Amino acid sequence: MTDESRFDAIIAADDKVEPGDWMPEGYRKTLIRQIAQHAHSEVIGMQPEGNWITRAPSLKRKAILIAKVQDEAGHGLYLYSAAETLGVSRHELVDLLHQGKQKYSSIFNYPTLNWADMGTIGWLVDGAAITNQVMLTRTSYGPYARAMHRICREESFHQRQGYELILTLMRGSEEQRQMAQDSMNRFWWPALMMFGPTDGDSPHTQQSMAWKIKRISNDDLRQKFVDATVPQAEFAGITIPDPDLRWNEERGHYDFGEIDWDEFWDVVGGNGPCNRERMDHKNKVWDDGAWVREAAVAYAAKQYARKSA
Amino acid sequence: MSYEVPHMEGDDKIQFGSHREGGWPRWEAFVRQRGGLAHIHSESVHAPDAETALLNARDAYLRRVEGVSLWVAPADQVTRWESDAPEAASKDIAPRPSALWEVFVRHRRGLAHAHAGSMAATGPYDAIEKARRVYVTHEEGVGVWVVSAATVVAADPEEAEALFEPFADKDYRYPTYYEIPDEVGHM
Repeated sequence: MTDESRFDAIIAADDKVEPGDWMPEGYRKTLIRQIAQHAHSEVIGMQPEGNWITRAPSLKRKAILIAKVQDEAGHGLYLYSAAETLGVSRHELVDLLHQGKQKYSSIFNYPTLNWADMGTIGWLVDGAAITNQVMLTRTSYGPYARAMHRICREESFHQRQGYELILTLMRGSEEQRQMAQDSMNRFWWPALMMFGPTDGDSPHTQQSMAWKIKRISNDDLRQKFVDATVPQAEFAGITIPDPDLRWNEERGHYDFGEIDWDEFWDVVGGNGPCNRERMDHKNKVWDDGAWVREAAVAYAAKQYARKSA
Repeated sequence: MSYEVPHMEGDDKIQFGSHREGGWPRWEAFVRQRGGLAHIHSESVHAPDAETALLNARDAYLRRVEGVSLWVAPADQVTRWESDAPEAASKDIAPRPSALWEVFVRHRRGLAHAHAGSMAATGPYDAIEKARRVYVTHEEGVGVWVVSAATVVAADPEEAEALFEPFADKDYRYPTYYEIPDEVGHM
């Protein structure tokens, strides 16, 4: 059996490709790109939430938010680690992010303007992420699938705490309800954009699905998310800002309005409200933290010298 | 958190793996979730030394009460064999005095390597050879890793409480902490 037919057989059998296996160069590059950008998203995703840690309204909410932000850092690490099994170093990938050569999810280029955003991010943004990630637990590359299993277990906490936060606000004062509604109004459409361009505008989807890296198309995932989220919004008494949103009996799904694709491409292209701020901050903390990395290496060298003395 | 980042111009020009080395060394991390279970590979961490590697692995892979024991081993000290690439098997160039090697087996595709046991061998390939005979019979394994027992660093059992216990009372880290009405469906 040739390398290629062995690889094809693994994919056809719905088996997992593992790091030691031969794989087509395109498969390897697609995975590195996707896993790295996923990892970058986790890391940059700490910023909009980190913004509210010092202003959380109670000790309980503060502890929850810290735990959540710590999880995002952990998810970034799992993913870089999975990418490294493909013959790249984390160092290299982080450099690509710092130089702006690789991107992260555009959702993090929107600002977090009020406390309710901490709920909306958990409920809608993590909710959209989970829809995508549950699919990715079945991806064909073993280390990526295993990282996804670990992440999905933890994302459930993220989504539930977010929805509970919104429910709490919606049962509160008029001001609190308005705050939650304002947050929903700002995050609904960007959350739908997280699934990427429509299938027609996503030329790489077909190959990714043939390799079983992706198992469900962007549009199908988006529909799944809308169908799951509408009843949750109705229960909370919060309004989804889409006049075209309605149940379609015939399709058995919710119809929804057209996404503003100009805005989507604009933010992807670097012109979102916070693109600059996120990257400036990331580069700044990397530079500011240099002394910590150097100190850790100096300590390790000292320990080593002591041991071998 | 996730995303679908669309392809942009210039994307396909990035050459991966051509970059200078840099950053801290990589360590493979292995977690025992409960007494009676084997140490299972949990992917890797970066750290300048074993002590920091253990702390980083604790923070990365044990943020919840999911483990009772943790090992790390330098990634470049792990010798790897896959059943689908038999040509990769090789001989030790210079056999050394017999020493102990830890053996980790991938039982089937999709599963992480699990600690299978330890054995005496005169080098990494001797260890793989022996491990394959013992652990990869009857199609029960698709990959073997061996690493010299001397290079595996375990979290001090005396410090287990300090390492793993602090997470026990952080019940807000679990989804079940949040009451979600049945009406809204699974979340």
